[in-house]
This record gives sequence, structure tokens and C-alpha cells, in this order.
Amino acid sequence: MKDNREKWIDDIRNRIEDYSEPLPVGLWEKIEADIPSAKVIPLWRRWQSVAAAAVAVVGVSTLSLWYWSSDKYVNQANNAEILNAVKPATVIDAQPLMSDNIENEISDSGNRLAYNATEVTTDSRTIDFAPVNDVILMNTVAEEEVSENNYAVTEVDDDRSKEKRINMMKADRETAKRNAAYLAMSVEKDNKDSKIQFGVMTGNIPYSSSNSFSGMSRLSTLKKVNSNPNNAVAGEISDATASYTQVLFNNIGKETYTDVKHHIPVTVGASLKWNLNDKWAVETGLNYTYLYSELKSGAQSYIEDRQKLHYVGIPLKVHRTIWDNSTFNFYASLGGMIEKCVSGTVETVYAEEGNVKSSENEKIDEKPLQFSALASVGIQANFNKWLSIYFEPGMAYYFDDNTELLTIRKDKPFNFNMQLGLRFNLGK
Amino acid sequence: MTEEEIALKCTEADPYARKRLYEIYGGQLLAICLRYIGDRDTAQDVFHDGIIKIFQSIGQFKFLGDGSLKAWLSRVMVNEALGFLRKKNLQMQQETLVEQLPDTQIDDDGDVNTIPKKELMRMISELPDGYRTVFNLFVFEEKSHKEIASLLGISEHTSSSQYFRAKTLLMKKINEYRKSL
Repeated sequence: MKDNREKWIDDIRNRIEDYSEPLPVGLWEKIEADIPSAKVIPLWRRWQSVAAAAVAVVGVSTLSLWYWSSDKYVNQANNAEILNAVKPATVIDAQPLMSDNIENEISDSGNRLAYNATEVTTDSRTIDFAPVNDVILMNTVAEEEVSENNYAVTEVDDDRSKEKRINMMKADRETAKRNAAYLAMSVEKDNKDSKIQFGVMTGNIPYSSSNSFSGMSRLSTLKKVNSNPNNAVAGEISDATASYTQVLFNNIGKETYTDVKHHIPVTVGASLKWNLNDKWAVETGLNYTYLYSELKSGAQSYIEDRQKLHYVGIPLKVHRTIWDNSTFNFYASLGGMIEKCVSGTVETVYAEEGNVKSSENEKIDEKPLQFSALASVGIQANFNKWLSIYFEPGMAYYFDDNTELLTIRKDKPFNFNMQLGLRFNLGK
Repeated sequence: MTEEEIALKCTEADPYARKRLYEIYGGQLLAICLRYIGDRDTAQDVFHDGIIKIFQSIGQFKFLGDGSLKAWLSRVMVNEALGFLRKKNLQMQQETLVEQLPDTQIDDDGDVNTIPKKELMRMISELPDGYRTVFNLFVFEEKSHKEIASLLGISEHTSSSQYFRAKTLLMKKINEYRKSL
């Protein structure tokens, strides 16, 4: 490129590049008046999404308050509610104030404009207050052009920059660097254009839960096991019922206790993510979750239940990018999941006076649907064009599935939740 | 107010910051319009629209160190000007119409640094639309003819021949200016 350009052309460039034209009198007032007030929207939208997220948090915590009234959670939820109730209110208050200012400013400058009318030289032009839609349209076009332009700035000639430096045109070198940076940005933008990402993930509630209380209890009320000891006198009863009744009988008059332990749930899954645009994405997939709970109930004589449940679920999440650069992507997401219990077993051990007497395995016939809501924030790190890793801490609320099955989700319906996964870009 | 602060306040629609931005960069941006458009009144119209576009899309600006704001503003303005020219769609039609210009001898002794900037601006502004656009993109935006070709929807050859003619014409103007002194 250098060969094609003579010195005198470079001289012209160097002389004129930073040339500044005197600004015509009154032009600013005119421009200021013509800036449509719709310009506030981008910022406001950002706040809107923050407010929406806050509202969602309040909503979820309130729900949990309804469904779960253990003291611990009441406190937690209350705090969250107070905190969040304050925030959105402030945001909303600030907004009208802003637009008021702008309105004043516009009418002010309108007056000034009228006052300076004689100084406005471009008489043939009409002041057009572009309708908001048009402006947005124009904006989109401009954005396209910007990215197109960025894309075109491919070759940065280092030799030229050096020459410039000698010519005291340091600014130029910066331009070159910036161009490269913009190019990087625009390339990155192209990457994001790859619409579909495939992912694998794992994660769930990051801890197990144990619970002790006095009295007897079971994990699930199986049809065959009727806990009413009066039935024991009836003739036709299964072994299981008999064993359970025996345990109950042995413990009459003794102080019994029940110990429930829900192990950390294990979830693995695959997902597909559609990037709708720079900011929004939708993700769905297929998850498998394994819930394992143990219960020991009784005293000297006791029963032990080991409950294994297998769920297959379909999540649906909406992601909104909060901030990103070429390597990292911060986003917030909101969604839900529908899960179906596909299989479940309970292994029960009966022990009398400390000696295991019998054990048995049963299938759980109840196969409930489990609904849940999820709000989370995520950070994604891109290794390269094709592969990225993500981590999503969040909160989940599991709705009551209206069964007797006792799981960690019933024990702690409102819970923290973590996800870790990989995403692969699938072409463009 | 630093560059970054100005940009940030402008995203918040702060009227003072907007005015500052206009005062600091307006002159250079207007010069860009003039360089691309040629005609002063039209350039001012494009400038007017460009500034409004800048305030509408400043949220997309990412601060990457000193000078990045100016680079971004220039880019938006250049795009605005190019968009206008594209609509006008004049540059494409010109190439075949112009008769072969005589080869003007470009004397390397001639130092353009002695010519006032305003005069140089005038000379560039007076170039025919098509020449001027290619000249601007090649010289000031440092784009290759290949890039210019895809940007303007013309062939690479057209771009380089337009650039050559722009150069010749410009040198002619410079020589005329020198003679008139």
C-alpha cells in the first residue's frame, strides 16, 4: 500500500487529518433540539432488566415464603425482600426526573433557536422531528455500517505508522492500534453470530441436607406399607407391613427419632443455546437428575429407607448479557424446568433390637412431574472460537409435586443452585 | 472531564457532557463531513444527522484508552457521510463519463506543507464525488482498494483508477494554486 502513495499525499493527509472546521453559530442548539428523547431508552433498558431481575428475586422469595414457612427461610426471604424492594423503587424514581430535564432542555433550546432564527443559514432545510421508529431504524442501519466498516479495516501498515511518528503524528499510530482493536471487536461480534451453541453441563444444589426429629417417619408412603398399626390385627397383610408394624410395636413407649439425609443431587445434561442477538439468548436441553435419600427411623428397632429417584427434565432459560468482552461474558438468566420422575426404588431394611431382620426392594409407582423456577447469573469464559466454559450460580424454587415422596426438593424447595458446563459453537 | 467521563455522561444523556463533546470534537467531525461531501450546506446537514446518531448510539462505544472516543466518533461520522453518498449514488456513475485526463507531472519538489490547510480542504472538497470518496477512504481511512471496492460496490480496478484520477486532479489544482500566487 505504501508504494502506491507518494510523499505529497502523505503530507496532505498529515496536514488535514486533524483539521477542524469552525462550527457554525447556532448549530448546536439546533442539534440539541433535534435529539429525540427516545435516546434515553438504552440506558433505561439496562435498568429495566436490573429491576426485572430484582422483581424476579422478590417474586421467587415471596413464593418461597408462601410455600415454606420454616423460620430460617422466613428471615432470609424477608431480608431479600427488603433489600430488593428498595432498589427498583429508586430506579423508577430517577427515570421521570431524567426525562423531565430533557424536556426542559429541549424547550429551552427551542426558544433559543427561535431567538437565533436569523442566524441559521440553512434555510432550505426543514426541522424534522423523526418519529421514534424511524430513528431506531436509522440507528440499526448505522450500526450495520459501523460493523461493516470495522470489518474492512484489515491491514494496518506498521511501516507507515513509524513514518508518522517521525512526523510527530503519534495520534496516527494510536489510530492503527485502535483500528486493530475495533477489528478484534468486530471479529468477536461475528463469532457471536454463530447462532447455536451446544453444551454439556453438570451441577445442582451444592450441598446435602440432613434433618432429625423425634417420632417415626418414612420417605414415601407406599401403598403396601400402611403405617396404621391397627391394621396389624387384620389378616391379610404383606411382609413389609408386618415388619414395619413390628418395628412400631417394639418401639412403643420408647423415645424414637427419625434421621433423614438427602444426598447432593447429581444432574448432568446437554443443552442447546440460541443466540437471538448480541444481548439475548434462549437455552433448552435435556437433563438427568439422580436424587438419593436415606432415612433411619426408630430406636433400638428401626427401619432404614434408601430412596433412589431418577428424573429426566427439560429446562428453558432466557439469558441476557450484562457485560462482555472477547474472553468473558456475564449474563443473567431466568427460566424454569419441567421434570418427570422416570424411575424410583426404595430399599428398606428392618432391624429389631439392633439386628437386621429383613430387607426388601420396592419400586415406587408414583412418578410425579416436578416443576421448578430458576434465576441465576452466569459467567462464561471463551477458550477459543469454538469452546467456552461457564459457571452459573443461582437460586431455584421447586414447586410442590403433590406427592408423599420426600426429597431434598420438598425439604428445601427454595435453594441455591450451581451449574458448570461447556458450550460448543456450532458453525454460523 | 476526561474522554471517558464525557462518553459515560453522554450515555446518561447529560446535556453538559453532550455540549462538551460537541465543542471538543465537532470541528473535526464537521471537517470530515466536508471532506467527504464537498458541498458545505449538505455537509452540515450530514453533520447534524451524524451528531444525533452519535448521541443515540454512544452506548455502544467502548473506551479503549485515550483517543478511542475520537476514533469512534470519526468512524460514525465517516459512515454517516458514506451512507449519504451511497444514497446519492453518484460515485458509481462517474467513472466512465470522465474523459482521460492529461498526465500531469507531479513534481516531488513541490511542498504541500506550504499550502494553507483551508486551501487543501477546498481542493479536496472540489473533487468530483466519486474521486473524492475513494481518495478519502484510501488516504484518510487507510483502506485498501479491495476494501474500498467492497465498501462502495465497485470493482477494485475502478477504485484504483478513481484514486489515480483524484490524485492527478488534485495535483493540477495544487499547481494552479501555486501559479496564482
